[in-house]
Amino acid sequence: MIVEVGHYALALALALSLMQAVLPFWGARTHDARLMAVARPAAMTQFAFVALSYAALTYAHVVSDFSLVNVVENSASAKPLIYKISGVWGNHEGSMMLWVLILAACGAAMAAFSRAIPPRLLADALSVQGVLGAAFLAFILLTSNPFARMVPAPIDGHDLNPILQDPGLAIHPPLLYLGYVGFSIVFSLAAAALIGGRLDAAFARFIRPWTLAAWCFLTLGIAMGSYWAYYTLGWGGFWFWDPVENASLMPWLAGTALLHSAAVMEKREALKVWTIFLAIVTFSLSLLGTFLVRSGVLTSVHSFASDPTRGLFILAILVMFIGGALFLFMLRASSLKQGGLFAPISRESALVVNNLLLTAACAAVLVGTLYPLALESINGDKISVGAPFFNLTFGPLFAPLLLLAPLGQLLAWKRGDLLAAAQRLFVAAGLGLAAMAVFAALHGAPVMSVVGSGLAVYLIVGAFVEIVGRIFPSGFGAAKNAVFRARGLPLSAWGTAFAHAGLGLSMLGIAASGWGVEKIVAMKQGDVYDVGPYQIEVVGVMNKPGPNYQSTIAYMSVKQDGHVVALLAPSKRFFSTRRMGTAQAGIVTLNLGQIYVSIAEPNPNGAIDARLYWKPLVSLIWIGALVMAFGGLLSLSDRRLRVGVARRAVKTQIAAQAAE
Amino acid sequence: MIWLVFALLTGAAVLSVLWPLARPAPKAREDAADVAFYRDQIAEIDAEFERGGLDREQAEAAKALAGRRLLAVAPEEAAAGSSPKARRIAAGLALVAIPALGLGLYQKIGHPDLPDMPLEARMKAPPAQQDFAAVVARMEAHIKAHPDDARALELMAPVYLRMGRFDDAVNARKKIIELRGETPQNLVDYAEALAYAGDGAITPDAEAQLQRALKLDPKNPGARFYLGLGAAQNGDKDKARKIWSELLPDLQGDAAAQQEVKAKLALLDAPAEPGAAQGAPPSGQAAAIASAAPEAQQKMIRTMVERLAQRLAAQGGGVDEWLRLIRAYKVLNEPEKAQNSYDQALKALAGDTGSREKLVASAKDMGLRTP
Repeated sequence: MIVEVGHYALALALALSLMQAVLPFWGARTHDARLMAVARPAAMTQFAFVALSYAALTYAHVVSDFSLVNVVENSASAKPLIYKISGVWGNHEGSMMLWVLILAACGAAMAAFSRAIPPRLLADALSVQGVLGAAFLAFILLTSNPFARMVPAPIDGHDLNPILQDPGLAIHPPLLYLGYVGFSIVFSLAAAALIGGRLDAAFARFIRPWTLAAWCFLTLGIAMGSYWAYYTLGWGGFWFWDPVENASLMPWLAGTALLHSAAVMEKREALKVWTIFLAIVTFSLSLLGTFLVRSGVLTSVHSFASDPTRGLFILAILVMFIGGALFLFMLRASSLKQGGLFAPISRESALVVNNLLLTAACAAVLVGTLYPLALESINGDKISVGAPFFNLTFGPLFAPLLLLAPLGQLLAWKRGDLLAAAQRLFVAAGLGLAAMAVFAALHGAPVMSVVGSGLAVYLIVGAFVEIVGRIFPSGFGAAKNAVFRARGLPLSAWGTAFAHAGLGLSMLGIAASGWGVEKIVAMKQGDVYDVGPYQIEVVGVMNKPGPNYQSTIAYMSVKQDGHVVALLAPSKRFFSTRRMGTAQAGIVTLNLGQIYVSIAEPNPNGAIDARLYWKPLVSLIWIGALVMAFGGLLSLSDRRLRVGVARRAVKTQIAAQAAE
Repeated sequence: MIWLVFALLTGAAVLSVLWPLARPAPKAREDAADVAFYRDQIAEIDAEFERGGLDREQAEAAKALAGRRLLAVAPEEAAAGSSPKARRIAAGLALVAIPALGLGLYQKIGHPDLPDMPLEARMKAPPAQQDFAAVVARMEAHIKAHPDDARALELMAPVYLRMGRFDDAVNARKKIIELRGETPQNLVDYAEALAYAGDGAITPDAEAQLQRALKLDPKNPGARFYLGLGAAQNGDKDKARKIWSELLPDLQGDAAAQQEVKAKLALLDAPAEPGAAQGAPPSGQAAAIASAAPEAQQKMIRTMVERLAQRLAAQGGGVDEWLRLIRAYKVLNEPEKAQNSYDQALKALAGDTGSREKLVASAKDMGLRTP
């Protein structure tokens, strides 16, 4: 009964989402407060029903109810409990359920925590959220129903794809979806502002927490996905410019731009229309990502199953929302009130440059992702756009961004002094150059790694220059009241510093990958290999059964100067249900770098092919992402209103105001 | 019970829409957020000034700017209560549309009569209520734990045959012989399993088993029957006829078996039809037809053909099944029906070029109108 109750709850959620779409919208048009008030309870009940349905599906997976096609195809009775729970979203239908669950949760959260939002804006936003919910619920119920039954029920299932039987599955998709779908709130609010034709001064403040939260989740989700690919694919790469990865990078780039332009809007009332545009673009790119991954256009570990009707349905959703929102933007954008003037050299301008670079980088990724697909669909040619393309396009756009980030932090609002700001960066630049010299002496070529690491150090140091300047306004000598001033600084300032520094840390980790050491060997027990500054000794090889797989484990010890510093146990697993193998890399972190070993099946002569890597500073890539998200969290926890006060030239400011 | 839960859920969904419609209208002004925003801004500037982040001149200028913007906020009244008419329409919509949509959609895709089937409950249910798959799984688990339990294997072997898991049946029969030794019956069962696994053909391996059974028991009817079938399959009609004719008198008292053998004998004399009874293991239906009187025979064949036609029209089928139907109509001297079936088949196989070509070629041979 639980299963069918969950199924019915999903159908009811669809009906409710349609009510949520229609009634508040009608109320907002006729200024009817009661009709608008329907939005809040409808959003919350819709969430309750979707959650009930999701719980029912999880129940079916946990108790191995093989009368559900979805459970048969993606589960097995011997699968460990954690993968029975996370396996719910480890397939097409279930992952769409997770998507809708988070969408409904976002709608309910907006309904619960947005008391300050003007009623008409909220009604329209929740109405848009209702349309989104209806579209995806209909998609699930009509083309991807996880509650489809199978009678007579088989006695066991086909098991989950072994690559997905990993703790990464429990973490990566929920984080990523919270990021993707979190931007739906921003999208709905932007669409509502366009529908209502009224752009409140407080708009940026309304979208700030949602943008920040979604951005933090997306950052963590992408980092987690990258780390998962790194340790599971067995050759130590952490980013492949794979279309599915690009699909998550694009909303991140657009979302980062949105974060910055929303800051300008909140503090200075400038870039209003641009912010609205970015809000639409960011979620549109999330939808595009969903389309690319879920439609079967791409084949990858993410796409599970391809079915043309699903692809068409998602394409229709995509066209409806992106097209509809952009059309609305075209109609209404010109009527929105622009505000806030600023000089060419100012914090605002720096953020405009940031936005232009980010959106251009995003466009480069978009082209690199879609062009091969378009080409293939037109003349059937399969071309691969890989790292060389992105290094040539994305790289040159992102590098100046890193250079400018600390500078932008130091420019004053409205009008700034470029020279003064640059002077304050002397220390950061000096340390960056010093880092280059040190890294060049220690590791040498490649040049890109040396330049990249110097840039990264400059960015990390530069991120804190502004804060340090505010804590010690008259030099380090006057340390009096420094602690008081540090605590008085808004958390958002700390957040900016940490987020920028996190980006620098990730950069440093990426740059250092050029100094890695790689060895491919056929190893036997007792062999010793030199890998970077360490020696790896093969202690023994063993076979061991797991709950639903057989594994071959190679035990190794890592030595430095004759002392054992770490143990490694890379393994190869074989899953009999799917007749598939997976590699579990052996990884150990030493001095921020990692020793990474992955093994293949044993050869007939008993030797095992293995790849051994030493990757200096590689863990910084993900530590950097954690620091970035921490920065976002700091900023998120700062509920104060943000004011950007012009600091100089009061006389000209009055002239500028007269012009407003 | 489940309908009660459905009713409660539907009620909750409808109420969540009706409730705000019934309550007094909230009175929030549309411009309140902007006013609050600038007030906060002014307060924040003051606070920043207190902390020493701004000098007096900057703070005053910024406050003046915020003040001017506050004055410029476009005033917008709170939304009016609501018209009773709109409320009635909205309430009506919720009352009708939510149950109609929810139930209507669920009606199409749901299975309210299907209970949950958690694996553990299925395995633990009393044997009488257990579903087939669960019993099989339990038996298999038992056999895995006790690979030498010949009795369990003997129970499972025919089940495997019925489930179409012929290789498993072969393995089970082989194991039974290992455990229990070679008896005529064991050997014949093994040969039978081999024949099923070989798509109905009496393979050399199966024939060897049958010969051994015959050595132990020269009169064994099963072994003789299958050896006859093997001879027929090899085209040695005389040998088959001899084996089966000698078998008949030994089957006194087993009418069904007698009929089966008679049917086989009849088929030996009938003109060969490709893919028909010769290659396949004995079928009860063919035997029944063969033994019926000519008139009844015609009628039975007609019913069978009609049944095939109905099944193909309802569920579709492969090109061979369609051809069998068309050929049957030709044989029954009903050219119209043959032509109709051919046209239907063309439509049904529209997507499959290979099958269509085969269909058209065969139809030409039978003299049907082809496009």
